[in-house]
Amino acid sequence: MARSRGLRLWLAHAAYAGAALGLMAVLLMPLWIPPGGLPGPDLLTGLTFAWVLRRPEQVPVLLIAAVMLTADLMLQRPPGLWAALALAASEVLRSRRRTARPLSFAMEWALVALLISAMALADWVLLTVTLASHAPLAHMLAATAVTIAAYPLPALALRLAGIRRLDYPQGVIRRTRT
Amino acid sequence: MPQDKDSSAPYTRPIRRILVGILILCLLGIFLFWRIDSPRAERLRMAVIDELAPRFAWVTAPVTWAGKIAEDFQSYNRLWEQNQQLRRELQQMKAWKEAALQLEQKNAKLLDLNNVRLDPKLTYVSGTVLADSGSPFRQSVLINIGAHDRIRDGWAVMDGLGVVGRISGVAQNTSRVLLLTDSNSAVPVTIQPSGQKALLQGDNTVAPFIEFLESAELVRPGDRVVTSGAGGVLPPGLLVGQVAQTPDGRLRVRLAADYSRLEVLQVLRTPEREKIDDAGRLIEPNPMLAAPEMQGPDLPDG
Repeated sequence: MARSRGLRLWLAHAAYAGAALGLMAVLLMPLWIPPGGLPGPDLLTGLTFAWVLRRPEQVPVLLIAAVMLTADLMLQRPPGLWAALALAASEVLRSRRRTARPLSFAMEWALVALLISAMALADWVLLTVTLASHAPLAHMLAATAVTIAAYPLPALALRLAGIRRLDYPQGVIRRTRT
Repeated sequence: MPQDKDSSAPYTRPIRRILVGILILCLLGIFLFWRIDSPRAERLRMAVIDELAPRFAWVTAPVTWAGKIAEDFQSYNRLWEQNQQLRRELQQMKAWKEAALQLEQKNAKLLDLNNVRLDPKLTYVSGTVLADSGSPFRQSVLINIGAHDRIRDGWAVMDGLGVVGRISGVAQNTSRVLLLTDSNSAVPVTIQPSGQKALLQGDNTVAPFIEFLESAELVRPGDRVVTSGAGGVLPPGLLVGQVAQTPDGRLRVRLAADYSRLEVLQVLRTPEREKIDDAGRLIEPNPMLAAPEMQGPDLPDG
């Protein structure tokens, strides 16, 4: 049991890393999309948060750090900044996980939205304070909004892959009237 | 059963928190390193990309292939549209080609007429039109050559396209040309291809009518009309115009000469026709019935 559990854990780690690499590959593909228009959603962050909320043991901190740092390097972001913020947010979610019952999806989405907005704000503040060149604020806000709006996609993907909370696999238990 | 990531010992949680804090600080340190020493950080980034990107190639290949197919489809679409457009243009070009061929034929005909129809013995003198007749009932023009240039009465006058009229009235330096449309003008003509002889009588309209035609059913609109030379009136073979049929069934001739633009006219030096007086020694003519050969009619002056 323990050995199969270890194997499954490694498989889960590999699945997360593989999904991250796959997303990066998709983003790096030369599709000749003309510039302008809405920025694409950051599905990797959404995937990380959704996974942490469901099976936190499958995404340990070091793995998240490595994956997000690699994503920073590959996607031409200032390396380490978004990784640090995502790590902090994932820790917030992980600690939250320990305490309460599962949220309904709407509440979960709202929480993730809050965290991503906070991350974007900190990102912008740090880049401005260190006088680094970055995209205009409107662009960053648009990217944040699109990422939040696209959060159901990785959540649905995880649900289809069968990754659910072990204690409440059916999701929220409705309050019965007793 | 709630899933616990950390073990039961209570001190692991703060240690874990410290370690996570250190990790976050390390990441922020990397950010500051990038901010401070950008070129080296970029080199590091390129090294990482270099390491990982080739592994992506087998993922991007099918997408690139799909992209190429989409592009091929678009280019096929464009080719098809271009093909349709070229077809339409080709249709238009064919119509133009027909028009060009017809113009070329007409041009050749006109050039032909200009050069070849004149007898080599017929030389001409050119003159310019000075004035019109001034009267609505007389169709004639004045030209600036006259007796000084040895112009004689009755000579044929042409513009580049066809017969315009005859000289009727010569002064020292000017002479008058009686146009074919004048009511006094009666010119013997031949209608080709039937070869029938008729008389072209002007009646002060823009198209003189055909008289004394033997069989009108042999004549169709568009037939060429040339001078017949009968009676020595005009040299034979000069182009006059084309047969046209008016709505009332009368046959008229649309003149080849451009009467609205008479500027330069050519006066043909028509030599005197030799007269044959006797019948030779074959038949003894009856001295009572013998008559001199008919000459050209005397035209009234003015």
